[in-house]
Amino acid sequence: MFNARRTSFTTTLLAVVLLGTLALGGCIGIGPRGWPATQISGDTLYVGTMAGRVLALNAARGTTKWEWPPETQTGNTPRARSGPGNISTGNATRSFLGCSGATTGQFKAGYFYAAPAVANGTIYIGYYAGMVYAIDAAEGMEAWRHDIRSVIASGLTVVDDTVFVGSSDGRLVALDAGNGSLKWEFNAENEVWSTPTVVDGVTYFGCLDHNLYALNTSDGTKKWTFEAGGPIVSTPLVVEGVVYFGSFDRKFYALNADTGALKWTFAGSGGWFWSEAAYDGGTIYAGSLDHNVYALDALNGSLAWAKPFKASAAVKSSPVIAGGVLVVAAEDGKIYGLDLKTGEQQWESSWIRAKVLSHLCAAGSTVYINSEDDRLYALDSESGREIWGITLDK
Amino acid sequence: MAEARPARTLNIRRLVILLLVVTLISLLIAGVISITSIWNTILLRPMLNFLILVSHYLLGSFAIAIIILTIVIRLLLFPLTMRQLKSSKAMQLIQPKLKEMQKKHTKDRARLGQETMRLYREAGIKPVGCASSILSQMPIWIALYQSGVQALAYTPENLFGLAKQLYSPMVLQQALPINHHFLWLDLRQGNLVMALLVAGSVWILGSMAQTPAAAAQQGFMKLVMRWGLPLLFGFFAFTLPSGLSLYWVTSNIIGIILQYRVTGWGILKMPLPSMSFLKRGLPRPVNSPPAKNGGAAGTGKKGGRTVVEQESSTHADCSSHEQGAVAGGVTPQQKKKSPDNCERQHED
Repeated sequence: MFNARRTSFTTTLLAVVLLGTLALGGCIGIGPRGWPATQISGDTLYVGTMAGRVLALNAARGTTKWEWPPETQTGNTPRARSGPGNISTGNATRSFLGCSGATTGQFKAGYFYAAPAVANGTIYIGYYAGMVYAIDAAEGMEAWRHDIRSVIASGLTVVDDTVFVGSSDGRLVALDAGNGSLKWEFNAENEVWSTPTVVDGVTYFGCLDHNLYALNTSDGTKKWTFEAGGPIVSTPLVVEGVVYFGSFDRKFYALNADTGALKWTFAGSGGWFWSEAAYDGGTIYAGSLDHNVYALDALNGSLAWAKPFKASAAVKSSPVIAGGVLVVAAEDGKIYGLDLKTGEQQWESSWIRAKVLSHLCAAGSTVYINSEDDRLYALDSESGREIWGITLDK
Repeated sequence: MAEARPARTLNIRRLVILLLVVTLISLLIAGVISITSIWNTILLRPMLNFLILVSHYLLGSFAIAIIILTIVIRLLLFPLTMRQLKSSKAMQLIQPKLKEMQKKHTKDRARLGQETMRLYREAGIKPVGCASSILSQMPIWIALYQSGVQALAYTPENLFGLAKQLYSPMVLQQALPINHHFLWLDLRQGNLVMALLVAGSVWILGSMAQTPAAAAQQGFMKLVMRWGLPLLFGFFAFTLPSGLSLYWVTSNIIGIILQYRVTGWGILKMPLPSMSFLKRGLPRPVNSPPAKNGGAAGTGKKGGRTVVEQESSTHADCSSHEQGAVAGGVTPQQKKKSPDNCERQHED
């Protein structure tokens, strides 16, 4: 029999459950996770973890040299103030529905979307929540910090005495590498999620406003801009006076680095270009979210292989060249070794059981791969064999 | 004696539906498709691409796209809405009969229920219509929420996920990034003004849908449902992205207009209806006289329990159905007979 009280209660319950689901979705759907990557300098790997720590590892064995922040600092680091789980909005940060993301002990995790930058014996990292840190590479002690007060979803680039970082409020910020003070900043039209590239006194970066910007590194003044058909988040590759980059308009561009004039366009992709391209011997290698890896002639943009290489999933990670092999990671964790000249698959590794979205890091014939289950793998590029693999946040 | 029910025939329509369901279940079990892929294909992707496309042609305004989407959805749900509203109207019309029936079957609760259902059938009222209204909109809310999160690209992960949901036409890629500002709003953030508008519109719509008799009741549950739902919606509107609030406000405004066309202002035309529970005050002691304004709830009793113990809902389009089963309001005679009804109602 119909019971009005029950129906009334059910209605309210449905509404509460729905709203609760939305709230939960807020935690799950909105919260950043990051795709930290690895950088190598000498025999040391500097790697970001999913929990927001930075580790210095022995490149040969994967053993830990030091970690930052040290255990003794984990309860009161500045990251707990403006880091993890807090969406930065202008000058303020606030938690979204109390979602704070993953935690490690007493310490709230931060998020990286790139590898740490290493220069002058210092490591530079930019957290999603907007804090830039400089850490002594030898001992893992903090040298300085700078809050740029906006989301950082790109990597940092360090050249000479300047740190360059893009922000989600549309700025490219240049900081003094020695003390973190602001040198200059440039205002673009939209979010800057592209890692800047600095070559010969010019800083190149893409922006979600569809533009590729070229700035004078000394003072941040604009040299030229080029408007693509879609947002640009890929890191520009600059080789021999030419800037190569892909866009969300599914096109890959080559521009004159000095003037910004278009040299050629490749429009054969069916998906966005997200990652930085690789270059070797006059050929550009670019991964696309349409699952393909394209080899393009650097001179005219024509296809260098008979056909593009089709991976099992989207190729978001930047391909790298290690030991004469092009190593490509698909989103689903499959890794491929390809012949540089023909694009023929030499090997395939499918032992990584998680997504791979981070940029790969190559040294000699070893490739270092961060996976989304917070593991770091060392892989032999000639055979695809795993050399070692470790869990970063234990 | 129960009425003879018509024999069921397996017509073509049922056969097709059955085949579709069996096929769907087989594909799910075989792993050819997944719940997520069905969801994305049927709801999320069309909605997401529609919003981006519309916003592209409307000066890049995602907010206006949401408003247009809301109007489209309300148009699609129009038949269902009108059926519910007419049902609400019918509920108001049968109130005198319900009261009469309640008096007649004061001591026989089971019979009262049966007679109430019979009356509903005769008046063409479907008591579960309210739940179906909520259920029909749930997927839309969730899909809209997901669309907003992905299209407005809260995080790089969201933007990366968007790549998989966009249809092929280049115009969709060129429409990115989506402008997440509208007037004073950042569509990616909760907003206090929007929260107040959402809460207010939910309250107005809920109040319009109430019958005066149901509104005259009181009790903790009623308070919670009358005020709790608007507050709850307000809270989530404050916390969730204001793009979703924009949908709620637009949808509620349309709902208010439709409700007014069918049932009028409801209890909103009564003087200070929302404050009536304050005037009535807290539950009185057993021996105290009843309130003069007749605010006390409860009617006849059976075995020491009030027969009329239903609470009203404040949710849009819903309360009339539920309050209809309340079986009427309170008569002065009943109050005289049982001055302690208010107390007992709270005890219940």
